Amino acid sequence: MKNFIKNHNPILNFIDEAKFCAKAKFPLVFLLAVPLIYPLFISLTYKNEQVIERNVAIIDLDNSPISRQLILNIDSHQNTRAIKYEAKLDDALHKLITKEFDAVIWLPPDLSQRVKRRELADIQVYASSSNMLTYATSLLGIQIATLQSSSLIAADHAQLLPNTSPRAAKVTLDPIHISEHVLSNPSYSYSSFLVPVLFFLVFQQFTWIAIGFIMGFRREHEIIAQKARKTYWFIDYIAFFLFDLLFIIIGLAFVFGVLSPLFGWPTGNYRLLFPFLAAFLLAQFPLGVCFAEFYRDRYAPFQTLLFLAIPCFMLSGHVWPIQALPPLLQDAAHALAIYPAASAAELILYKKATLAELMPYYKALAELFVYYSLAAIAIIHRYDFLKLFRRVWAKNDGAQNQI
Amino acid sequence: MSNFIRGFLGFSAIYFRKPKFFAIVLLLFLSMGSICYIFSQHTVTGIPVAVIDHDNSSLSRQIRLFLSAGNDLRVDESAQTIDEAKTLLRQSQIAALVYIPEDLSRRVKSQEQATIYIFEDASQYLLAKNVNKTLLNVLKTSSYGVAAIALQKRGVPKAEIIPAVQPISINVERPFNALTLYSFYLVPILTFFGIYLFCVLLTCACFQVPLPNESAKPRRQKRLFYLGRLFAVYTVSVVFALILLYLIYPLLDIELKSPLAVFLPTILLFTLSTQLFASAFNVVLYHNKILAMQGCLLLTMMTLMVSGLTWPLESMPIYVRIFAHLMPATPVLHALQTVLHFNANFTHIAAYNLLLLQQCLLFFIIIAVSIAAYDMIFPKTRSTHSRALKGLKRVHGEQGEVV
Repeated sequence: MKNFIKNHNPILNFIDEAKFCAKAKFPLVFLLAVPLIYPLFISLTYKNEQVIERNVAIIDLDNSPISRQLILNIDSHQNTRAIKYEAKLDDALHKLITKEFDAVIWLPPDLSQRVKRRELADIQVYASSSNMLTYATSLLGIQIATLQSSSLIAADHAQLLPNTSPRAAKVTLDPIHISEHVLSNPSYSYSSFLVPVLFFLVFQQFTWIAIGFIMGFRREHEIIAQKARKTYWFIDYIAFFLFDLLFIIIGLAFVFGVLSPLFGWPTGNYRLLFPFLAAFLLAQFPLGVCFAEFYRDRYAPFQTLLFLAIPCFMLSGHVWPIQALPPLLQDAAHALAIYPAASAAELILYKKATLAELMPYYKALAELFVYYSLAAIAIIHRYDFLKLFRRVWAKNDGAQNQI
Repeated sequence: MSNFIRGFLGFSAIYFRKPKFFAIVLLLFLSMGSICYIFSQHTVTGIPVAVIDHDNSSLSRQIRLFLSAGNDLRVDESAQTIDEAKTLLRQSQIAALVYIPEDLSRRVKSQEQATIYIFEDASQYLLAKNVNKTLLNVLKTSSYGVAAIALQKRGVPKAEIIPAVQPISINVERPFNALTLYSFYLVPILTFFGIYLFCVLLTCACFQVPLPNESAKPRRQKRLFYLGRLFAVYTVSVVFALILLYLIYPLLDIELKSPLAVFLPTILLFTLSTQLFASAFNVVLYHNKILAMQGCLLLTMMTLMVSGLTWPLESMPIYVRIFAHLMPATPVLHALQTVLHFNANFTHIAAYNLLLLQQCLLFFIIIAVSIAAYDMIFPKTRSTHSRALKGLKRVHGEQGEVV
């Protein structure tokens, strides 16, 4: 017992970790820099919130009041910037390939003629859907602007019908009005949608790498100093993690307390957000221990864990809906803490959640914490388990031989 | 045998000699494979929406029928009242609620404008955008149908009805990614980013793994050894990129529309630029390899966001754009999209190749200046290994003989 307290004393381990980091310096650089620099850079990148003013080239072969009105409408829409293009269609399409334009509109020479003759006038739109975000933005702008022009012309024509007032013409042409209400993220801001959950991912990766980095450094120390390989128990990892946690808390306070209000990212209720973040990172910790047990140097966590970042984010169900995943991956997503965390984040950040609504997510994180911890303990003591297994096996073997 | 060849052979076989490097390759392919598998359904279909129909007329029933007719939406029948639907909406079990009020058909018949209400949950951006597009299409089409009947009753000839409702129609052509599949948009970017990360990590590893019999080698010979290692990583990265293009992408029906001869120079330049970028860090911070790797990886992980493919470059601040143009992943990912979606020739991706060349030149100058400065400051050959060990001893203490 005395030995156990001597070797696995959490307070001594915490102090030892602090001393080790101070001596080695680089863990401190990493622990301080990553949670501060990375979220700041993400915020700066996405600070414009929405994609606007996509370049749309317009080849106007009609050059009539109708076509000019249409160009004006397209230019006045926030999604699109109309660029009158005088060259041939092929040249414009070449620029579509080289991404100078997001769309090309070809207005036929008989546009106004057909409209006046009460015939259907077709305009041709070439849109680049190689980037879905810019494609959706530019096409929506073009569609709305064209619809506006089209509705005005149709209303003018309808007024010429017998016994039709301007108001009646409008109602005849648009009998069903659609009243749209966007909830949770009313401005449809892409940044507000993406960035806060991206921060969750950053802290998840940071937690894993921090544990791996510190343990890798310690193992490297053992090899260099030719010391016997020490078995760190789960309780030791907890003590080391408590030291790392200080930096994680600083990072979280900076990201959600300073950076998010500064850039206007949703934070929701802090009293719900911070405890949930703590639970999320706590649930991640034993999985980090599972990885860290295999690292023999300080480079290894970077060399391996970064490959998991994108699949984890995609499995969170935030960017790509969970129901669009193959069934096997849906199950895999449920085994990751980022999935309940992202779902709860949506509730906290956008829907003003209550504590009762978050309870199922806390429960999911608690379950994962237990499973991950059991896995971590099994991995840490794998040699002991193996020894035990061999002993039992040998005993059974011996008993069988006697028989 | 020359040191270059020795370095090349040694590092080519490292994946079989050291389990860590084997694990890196395994994780790279696991990450790329899982990304492909995540997007194997290509697009999001069957998004649940609730329809609360208080009108229950032939028109409202027709609208419900239209909503469930397509692939995009699935009408969720579980909610019978608005309150139930609101609860489902809050729990993200449905993406939108369509409310048809009881006076819809009465107002339409009495030539008054009727209203249909849509409530969308925008906390899931992708679902919300898809739902919004589909709902508006269906409801607008229904509205035009009603308008067409009204105009027919007012004596508008049958041939003129469609132009009377919508005089200008849009014909959209999508020369690239014609089916607007998310898999075609995201999978190439995310998986190729894995190759980029691999190349950066392995280039850093070239400097991290100690040279055999290092202290005996003159400086020039050591550099040749490093060059050999770098060339080994270069070869493996190019081979992995080709495996991705020709073996992994076809699993998702993603095929290069351009000949390999067009894209191969870009791959070669990209790999060179990536290696020079990572080498520049390691040469400048020669005695601080962990800091070199951390800096390198910090910038590398930021590249995916600033490459201009997930978020347009024009929407970023100018200093982020400059940073994006300094990163090898930016031009190569754009070029990749071009050659994947279009039968491109050299002129279409010339700008990207030029940018890669400029990057190569810049990083090469940084490396050359650093080496020249190093040679000037430390004219005598001194073992790097002994320097590194001295640093490690400082960190780990002086216990035991150094291995």
